[in-house]
Amino acid sequence: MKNIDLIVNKLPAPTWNRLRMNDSRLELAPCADVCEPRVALQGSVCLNKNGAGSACCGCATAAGCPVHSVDFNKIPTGMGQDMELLGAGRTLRLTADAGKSVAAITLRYGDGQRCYNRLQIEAKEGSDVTVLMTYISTAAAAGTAAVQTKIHAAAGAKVKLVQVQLLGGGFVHLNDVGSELGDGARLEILQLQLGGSKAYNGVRTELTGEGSSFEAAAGYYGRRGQRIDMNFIANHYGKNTVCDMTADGVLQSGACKIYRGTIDFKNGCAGAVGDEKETVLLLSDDVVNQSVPLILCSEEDVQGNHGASIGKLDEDLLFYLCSRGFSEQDAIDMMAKAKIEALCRKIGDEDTVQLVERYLEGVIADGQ
Amino acid sequence: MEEKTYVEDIDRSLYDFRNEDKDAYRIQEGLTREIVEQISREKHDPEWMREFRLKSLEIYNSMVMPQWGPSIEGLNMDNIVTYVRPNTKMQGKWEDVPEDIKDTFERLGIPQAEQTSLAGVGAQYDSELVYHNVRREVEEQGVVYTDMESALNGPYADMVREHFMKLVPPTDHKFAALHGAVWSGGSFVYVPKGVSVAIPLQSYFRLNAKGAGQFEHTLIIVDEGADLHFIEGCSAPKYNVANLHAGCVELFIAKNAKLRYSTIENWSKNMYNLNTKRALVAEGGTIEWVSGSFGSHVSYLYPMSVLNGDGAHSEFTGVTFAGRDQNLDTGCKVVHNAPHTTSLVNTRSISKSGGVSTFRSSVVVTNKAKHAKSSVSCQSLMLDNISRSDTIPAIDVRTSEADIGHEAKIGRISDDAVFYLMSRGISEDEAKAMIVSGFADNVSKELPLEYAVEMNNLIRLEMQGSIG
Amino acid sequence: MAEQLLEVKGLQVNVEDKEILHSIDLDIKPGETHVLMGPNGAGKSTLGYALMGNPKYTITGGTIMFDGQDITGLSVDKRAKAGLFLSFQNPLEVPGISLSSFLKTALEQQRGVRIKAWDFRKELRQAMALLQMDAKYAERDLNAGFSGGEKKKAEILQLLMLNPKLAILDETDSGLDVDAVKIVSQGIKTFQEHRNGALLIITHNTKILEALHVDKTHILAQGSIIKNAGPELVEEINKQGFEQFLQK
Repeated sequence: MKNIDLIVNKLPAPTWNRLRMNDSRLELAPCADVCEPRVALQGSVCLNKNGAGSACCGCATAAGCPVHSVDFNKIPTGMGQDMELLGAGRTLRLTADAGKSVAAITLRYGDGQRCYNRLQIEAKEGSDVTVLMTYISTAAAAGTAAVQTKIHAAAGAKVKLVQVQLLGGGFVHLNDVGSELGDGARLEILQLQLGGSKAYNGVRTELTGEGSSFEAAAGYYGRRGQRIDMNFIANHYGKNTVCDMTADGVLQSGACKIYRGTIDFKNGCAGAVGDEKETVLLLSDDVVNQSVPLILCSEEDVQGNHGASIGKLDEDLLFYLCSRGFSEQDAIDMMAKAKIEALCRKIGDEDTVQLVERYLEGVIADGQ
Repeated sequence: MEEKTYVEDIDRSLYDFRNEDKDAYRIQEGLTREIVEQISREKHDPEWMREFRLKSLEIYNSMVMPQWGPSIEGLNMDNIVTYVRPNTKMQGKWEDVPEDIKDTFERLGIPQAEQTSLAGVGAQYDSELVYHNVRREVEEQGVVYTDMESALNGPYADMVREHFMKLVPPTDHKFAALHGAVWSGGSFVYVPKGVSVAIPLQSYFRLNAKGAGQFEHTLIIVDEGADLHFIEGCSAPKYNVANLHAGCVELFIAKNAKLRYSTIENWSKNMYNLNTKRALVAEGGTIEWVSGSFGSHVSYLYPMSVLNGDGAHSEFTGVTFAGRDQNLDTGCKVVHNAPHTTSLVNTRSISKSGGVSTFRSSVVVTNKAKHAKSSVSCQSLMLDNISRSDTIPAIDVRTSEADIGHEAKIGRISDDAVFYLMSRGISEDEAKAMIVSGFADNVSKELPLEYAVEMNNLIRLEMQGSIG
Repeated sequence: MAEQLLEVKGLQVNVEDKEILHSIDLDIKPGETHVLMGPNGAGKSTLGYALMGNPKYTITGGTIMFDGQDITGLSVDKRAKAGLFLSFQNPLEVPGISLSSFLKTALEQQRGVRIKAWDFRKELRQAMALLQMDAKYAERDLNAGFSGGEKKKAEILQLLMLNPKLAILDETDSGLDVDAVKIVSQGIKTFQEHRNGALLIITHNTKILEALHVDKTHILAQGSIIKNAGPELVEEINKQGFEQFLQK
C-alpha cells in the first residue's frame, strides 16, 4: 500500500510561510494493524465495540438508537481533516450515564505495529466521567500509534480526559482530540507526552454551550531529537464560556517543539474568558522552540490573556536552590522533573502516576 | 471644532482636501517592461539602476500575492499609475514651491514645524520630492539629507549603490519587487561618525494623484557612535479608487549608533499600504521604532530589526487604530543574530466600527544569539461588537542561552474606569476618548509634543464617530 | 575546630563594574550572634549574597574563611553543604516542588543518605509546630502563593531543618506583623540555644532582637563597616538612629 501524506495541526489564522509554523506535513505508512485496547470500567459507564449491538443500549443498528444519536463525524478535531486519510480505524464508544464513572484504556503497542484507534466518548447529562488513556510499548520499539478521541459532553456533564504517552523511541504518535461542550459542560484534559520520536498532538474544543468550560494542561519532556508538534484550539461560541490552556515542557538534546495555541472568541460569546500560558525550560543549546499563541476576537465583551516564558532556569531561582545545598545540575534536573510531576499530581490515579514516575527516572538518568 | 456624529461625517478635513491634478507628467496605468523603462528614462537612472528595475520587474512577475494577510483583491495593478511627477523641480525654499502644493503642506503644518522643531525637512508630492532643506548647523556637522535621486547621482552614489535594497532585496516579497521596479522619491540620510543630531529630521509624503501609487525609498545610514531621530509622516486625500503605497525603508545602524524612526501614518481609507521597513543594527547599536497607524484601507506593515552585532538593541512601540472599512495588519519582526542582543516590543491596537486590527509579529533567536533577551507585550481593545481584533505572534528560539517573554491581552474598556471618570463630571464619550488616548500613550509618550498632540487628535476624531 | 567560624578579610565586592563593598573585615565565632545594621543601600544584602556566593556579586579582593576552609571561590551549593545558610529577603517561588519534598531532598543531599520518611515527617511536623505553620503548607509548592509572612516562616523552617553552622538572616523581620515577628524570633532562638548555631542578623528593626541574645553589633554604611561594638549598640541605634555614626 502507498504511503499517506498528511497536513496536520493547521494554524487557524496563518502567518508568514517562511516561519514554517502554519501547519505540519508528514508521510505515514498505512495503519493496517489492529491494537486491541484493554479497557477497565468502573461506575456508570459502558462500552460499545465496532459496529452494531452492545451491552450499553442493546440496539441492533445505530439508526434510531438514543445512545447512538450523537453524530461524532460532525465534531472537528485539532489535527484536522487529514486524519480521515487514515481510514476508519478501530472504533470504541464509551457512554457515560449520570453519576461518577471511570474508564481506563490502555493501548500497548508491539514493535513495528502501525495502528489507528478511535474513541468516542458520549457524556450524558449529569455524568462525571474520567477517561484514562495510556499509550505504552517497550523502550526501543518503533511503529505508528494514531489515536483519535472525540468527546460529546451534554449539558452539565463533566469529563476528565487523561492521556499519557510513554511510547518507545521509534514511535510516531498522532494524538487527535475533538470535543463539543453543551451548556455548563466541563472538560478537563491532561496530557503527558514523554515518548516517541515524533509526537503530533491536536486538541480542538467547541465551547458551544453557555457557561461551558475547558481546561487543558499539556506537559512534555523533549529529548534526543524528538519532535513535539502541538495544536490547541478553543473556539468560544457560547456566552460566559471559559478556557484555560497551559503547556509546560522541557527541551534538551536536539529536541524540537512547536506549540500552537489559539483562543478564538466568536461573535456572540459575551462574557467569555480565555487564558493561555506556556513555559518552556531549555536545557541544551541545540534545541528548537517554536511558539505561536493566537488570540482571535470578534466579540467586545471578552477577556483574553496569553503569556509565554522561554529560556533557561531563572538565575535567581537557581541561586536560591543551590543555597540549600543542591548542585546546579541537581537543581536543574529537579525543576525539570517538577514540571512533569506537577501535572502528574492532577491525574489522580496512583497506578498511572507510578508508571510515569518510573518512566521519568529513566529519562532523567539517560539525559545526562 | 464642530462635533461630528457619524463616521461618514468625519471627512478628515485636516487631511482630506485634494488638489486638481496639475502634474507635469503621468505615466500610463499598469505595469509593463515599457513602463518601467520609461520611468527609468524619465528619472535619468544610472545604468545599474535601470537593470535593477528590470530585474525587479521579472521577480515581481514570478512571485505570488501573499496568502496569509488581509485581502488585497481590491487592488488591481493594471489600474495603478506608478509614476506621477508634479509640475515643479525640487526646491530649497518654500517660496519657490508652486502655490497649490505649498498650500497642501502648509495645511499639514509642515513649514511651521520646520521652523520650530525640525533639523531638516523633505516633502514629497506624488512621485517626486518638491522641497528639501536642512538647517545649516546640521549640514555643517557633515550630515547629508537629500532626495534619493540627487543621492544616486551625487557624491554619495557609491554609498547608495552599496546599500540600496540590500537589506530588503526585491526577492523578499512581491511588493518589494514592485518597489524595486518602480520606486521614485524618498530620502537619503547619512550621519557621520560620532555626530549627534539634536533635533529630528522629517520627511512628509503626500499622495495627491487619484489612482496612483507612491513608491518612495528611504535610505538612512547612521555611522559609528552617531545619533539621529527621523520622523516620517504620510497622508492622502480620499478617492473612490484604490491608491497604493509600497515604500521601502532601509536603515543601517553602525557600531554604537542610535536611530529613532517615528511614523504617524494617516493615509486615506482607499489606500493599500504595503510598506516594508527594515533596520540592520551592528554591535552596541540601537534602533527605536515609534509607529502610529491610523489610516489606509488595508495595511501590511511590520518594521523589522536585524540585530547583527553583539549587544545590539531594538525597541518597537506601536499603536494601530482600525475603524470602519479598515483592515490593518501591523506588528514587527525581530531577528536576534548575535550575543547579548535585546529587544522590547510594546504595542496597542484598537478596533472600532467594524474595523479589523491584527497584531502580527515574529521574534527569531538564532543559535548565535547567546544571552539574548526579548520581551513582547501586546494589548488589544475592542470598542464594539462588529469589529475584530486578532493577535498572531510567532516565536522561534534556537539557543538555550536566551530569555524570551511574551504577553498578550485583549479586552474592552472597563466599565469601572468609565464610571470613575463620569463620577468626576466627565461625559461618557469624553471618558471613553480619554481612556482610549490613555491606552495609546505608550506611543504618544515617545513622540515629540506636536506629534503626540496630532496623534491624540486623530484618536479623538475616530472616537467621535461612536456617538451616532 | 578553628577558633573563628567565619573570618572575612579585606572583602571587596563588585556588582557589574561597580564596587559595592570595600575591604570588609568580619569575624564570627561558633555560636555567636552578630547583628549587622545600617541605612538603606549600605550594602548589607550584598554582603549576605557575597558570603553565600551569588554569581552576580563578584569578589574582587579579600578572602572568606569558613570553618577552617577558604570558601572565597567555592560554589554556592558547596558553601551550603559546608554549613552556611542564607535566609532570603525575598524567597523565590519554586513551582512544582512541595515544601516537604524539597526539604527532604535537600537534607538527603546534605547528609548523602536516604532519610526515612517517618523520621523526616516527625522532624518536619515539630519544626512547623514551633513556627505555628499550618501542616498543609508542607504539601504546597515551596513559597508558591505563600504570603510574605509565610515565606519568611518557610525560610526559618528550612534553617531549623538544615541546621547549618552559621545562618545569615537578611531582613527576615521585614514585612512581618508583630505576632509573626515573635514566632520567627522564637524559631531563631531555638536555633541559637538548642543547636548552638551562629547568626549574622541583617536588620533595620530591633524588634526581632528583643528576645535574642546578641554578642556583637556592626554598622555598615556606604560599603564599609564603620563601627564594631557590643550588644549595647543596638539600643543606642534604636534611640538615636545612624546619623551620629555617619558624621564621624
